[in-house]
Amino acid sequence: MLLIFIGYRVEFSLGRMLAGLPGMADLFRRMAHPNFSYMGEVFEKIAETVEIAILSSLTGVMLAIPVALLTSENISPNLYLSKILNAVFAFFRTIPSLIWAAILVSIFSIGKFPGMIALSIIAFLMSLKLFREYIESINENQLNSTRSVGASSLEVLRYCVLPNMMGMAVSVFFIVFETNIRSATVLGLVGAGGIGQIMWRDLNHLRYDNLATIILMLFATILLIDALSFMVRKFLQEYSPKIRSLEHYRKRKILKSMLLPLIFAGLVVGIINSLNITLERMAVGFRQGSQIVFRMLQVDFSYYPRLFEGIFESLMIAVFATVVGGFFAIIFSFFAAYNLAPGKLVSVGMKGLINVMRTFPPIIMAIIFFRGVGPGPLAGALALSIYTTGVLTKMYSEVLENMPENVRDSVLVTGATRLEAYRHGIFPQTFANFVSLLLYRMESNIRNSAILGIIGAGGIGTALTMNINWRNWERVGLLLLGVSIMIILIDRLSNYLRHKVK
Amino acid sequence: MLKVENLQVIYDNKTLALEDVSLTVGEGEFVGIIGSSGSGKSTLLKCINLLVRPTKGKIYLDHWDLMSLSSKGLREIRREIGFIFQDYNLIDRSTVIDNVLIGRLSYKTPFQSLFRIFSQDDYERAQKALSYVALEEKMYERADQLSGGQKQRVAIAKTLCQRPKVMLADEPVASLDRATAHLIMEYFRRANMKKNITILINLHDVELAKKYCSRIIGLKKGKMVFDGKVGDLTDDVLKRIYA
Ligand SMILES: Nc1ncnc2c1ncn2[C@@H]1O[C@H](COP(=O)(O)OP(=O)(O)OP(=O)(O)O)[C@@H](O)[C@H]1O
Ligand SMILES: [Mg+2]
Repeated sequence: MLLIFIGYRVEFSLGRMLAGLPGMADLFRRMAHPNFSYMGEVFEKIAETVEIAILSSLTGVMLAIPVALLTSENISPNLYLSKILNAVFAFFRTIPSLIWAAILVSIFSIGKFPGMIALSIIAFLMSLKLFREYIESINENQLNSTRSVGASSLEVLRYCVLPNMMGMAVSVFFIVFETNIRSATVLGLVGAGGIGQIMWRDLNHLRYDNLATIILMLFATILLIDALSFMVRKFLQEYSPKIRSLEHYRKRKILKSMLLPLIFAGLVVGIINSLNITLERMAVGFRQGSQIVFRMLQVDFSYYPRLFEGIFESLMIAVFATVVGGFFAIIFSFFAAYNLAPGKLVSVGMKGLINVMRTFPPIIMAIIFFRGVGPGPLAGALALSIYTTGVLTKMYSEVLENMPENVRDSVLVTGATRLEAYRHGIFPQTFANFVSLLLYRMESNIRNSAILGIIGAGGIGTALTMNINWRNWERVGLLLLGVSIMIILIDRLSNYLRHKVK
Repeated sequence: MLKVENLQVIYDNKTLALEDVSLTVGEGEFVGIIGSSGSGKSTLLKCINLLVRPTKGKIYLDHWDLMSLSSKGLREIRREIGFIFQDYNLIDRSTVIDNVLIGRLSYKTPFQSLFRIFSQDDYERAQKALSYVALEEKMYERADQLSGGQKQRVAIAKTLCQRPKVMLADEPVASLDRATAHLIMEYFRRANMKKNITILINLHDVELAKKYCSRIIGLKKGKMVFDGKVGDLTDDVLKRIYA
């Protein structure tokens, strides 16, 4: 019932999908002949994309460390200040990266600079949240034990909080980086640099051969980066140097404590140089930025009909994608989990498929669907469904794989087939995990659906980009406020439900 | 050398945790504090190095009045008072020796501590402290790879590095098995005998208290109900403390 209603709201129509199939097939046929002579230009743009992702992740993580020390409520120098800052950051965190980029483009004009800033903001907010959660989990006695040797509060930070944080910073960097590399590929859609720029151009010029080249290379790059980041993390985890003597250890430590600040300073200088920031540009940007913020604060409430319409559509897209993705994930997970799948080959094949499904940001997937079903919420909903299926299958099949052997075997010994065991024993047992993952997906989908409109795939994003382009900042203010409230409400609800199923 | 007068602690304006506790501890004493859960044992110890600020009362160490010290003075006096927790509280990702070096912090200038400049002498002291608790070969391992008993020994080594006059220990063996508990208690005894460090230790195990301490203090609902030699700790007294 509900599904039918939602399907109707996103203009779901099997007819249109079927009618779209030849178009899509044609698209894939034309994409089957990538334009290899185009690789040079693509490579250049991909390099720029990776550069943006790396630099912004670094900037964000480095900024987040000191701010986390200031805003964590158990060690903050001023509790009220940290409460206020945390509320502001929580609000900022609801604004998707592409929206940041779109706004920043109108401040700093087209180029990779606004993209850099947008992703730095995202990286900063993400890592701040992770760091803060860690610091606030440090128990009082741990801090007290350093205090009781006679350490000052600065020394407590330096010797009690920072060492664990530094180790954590590496994994935080990679988490942020893997998110940012995906976001960086679409920045170009709003003119903020990277591969998205030429992708958008080729799409509008119907150069599907070029598009195929881009998508193939992008896929390879993302796979490569995921693999690299996995390897680096593994190496760092297992790395333990051989120490010969106390003297040797002391020298290493001194070297390390000299080197780290130097590397830190080097990175800062490097980042600033690579952006060729001029004071002039910053000044102009700052002036325009403050003007824009000032106008946004004068929220235009009379624009609410469009807000509700857009939010409702975004919500429908998100719910549709979550339900459809959830449905397919239940089925796919059975075939992807190596301890349940009917064969090793099936499991490997399935894992390959879901990796393809989750590699591309939904917004790129939506572009592909335009060809089949035309622009509109349906394209967005389908794209997001595919992405959700991919991510959810990956996560849930991991839950299944980590399930203790005897849970599975206790059902299998009753003479049930694997499928029956899954259906009647294992799935019900892990249902709570599944629901919890599904709710996380819902949270992420609501953010994704808010940006789909930027390329015309339905939802609040359409109204947002239009008003950003027209410089209607008072209206943008209202839309952002609406999006933010919607996201916060959904997060609260999902949090509540998650605790309920546990 | 340590004198506590009319101590009172009220948490959050409502929970009365200590009331009118006074005691004097001489140099080199080994004092066990017993009492049922919630009787205020931890609170008493935490007051002595001002991790908890008493609502009333005075605390003296030698000739210093702790309550009237500036925050700088307080940091200096905390160096004289080692504190050991039940849950070890080591820095998990740091090596064992780095954890022990934390005990040397109060001997460093702010500049030295900011840039982590420890001298060869600091390192040697740390090494010696570790060999004292027989953990020299674990020196470069990460603290989270040690067992509970080993972690507590590292915590003792860290405290010894402070070169304290007094050691306060809040149920240091409560999460360890019997054999390990005795091993740890032996380290306290040796620190007490050989280095003449005054020890105040919270224990919930009366047998351990009887075996290692020379003097026992009994707390009940925040009040001191017993203070005397181990020999005077009769079953009647125990009943009064734990009833
Ligand atoms: N930080 C705090 N805030 C509020 N109340 C506290 C705090 N710490 C302790 N209390 C209360 O003070 C009283 C004494 O607590 P304390 O921890 O000193 O007891 P204890 O004898 O160490 O108990 P246990 O054997 O369980 O460790 C208890 O009623 C406790 O609930
Ligand atoms: Mg206690």
